[in-house]
Amino acid sequence: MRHLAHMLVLAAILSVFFAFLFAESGRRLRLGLKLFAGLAGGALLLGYLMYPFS
Amino acid sequence: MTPSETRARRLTAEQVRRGLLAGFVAWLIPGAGHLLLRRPRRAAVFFGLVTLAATLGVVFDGNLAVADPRAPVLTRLQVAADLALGPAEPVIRTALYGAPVYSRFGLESGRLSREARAALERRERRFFRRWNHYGTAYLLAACLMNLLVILDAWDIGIGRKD
Repeated sequence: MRHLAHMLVLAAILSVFFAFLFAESGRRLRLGLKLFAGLAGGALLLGYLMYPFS
Repeated sequence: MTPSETRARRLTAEQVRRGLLAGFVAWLIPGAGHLLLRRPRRAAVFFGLVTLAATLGVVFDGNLAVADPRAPVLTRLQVAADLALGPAEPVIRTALYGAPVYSRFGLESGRLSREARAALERRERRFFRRWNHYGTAYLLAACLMNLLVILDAWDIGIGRKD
């Protein structure tokens, strides 16, 4: 659970960062949400693959 | 003439000066390069995120990299990435380890000073702390984000990006 919390915080930081780095002001929210979904989903999947029974 | 040569020729001295100045200021303080280039919103966001990640890294007992003879190329690249955080990096390093130690080279042969050896020992002990790996991830993320911020400031400075 703590692993998940850290991954979500890191995913949120990186999503906002890359949204501001790469998108124009009108498209930032959509890019940020897509990035967050991808990063959080990736972290969940990785966590499950590494520790499947915990 | 290669495309990169063509691009390089198109840059005026003024553009290069602006790009270098913005990049340097961005290295000094995260986001300051964007502020100089009149992008206050981006500057505030970048400053906030880099500072937040670095703070979380320190709070969660993260470690900064040192050049290590067991993996010389990768660890040197990690040290270079850490240095992208700017003058704050040696300050954090000194606060965490008691000395700004950057290399493990010479540790086995006894060529390092007593101060450097003590700093490396302090660093090694932090690996056993509970949140160390998460803290290290936050610290590395902060350093790499600032590297991208510096490159972005350069791009805006030379007029390649709005």
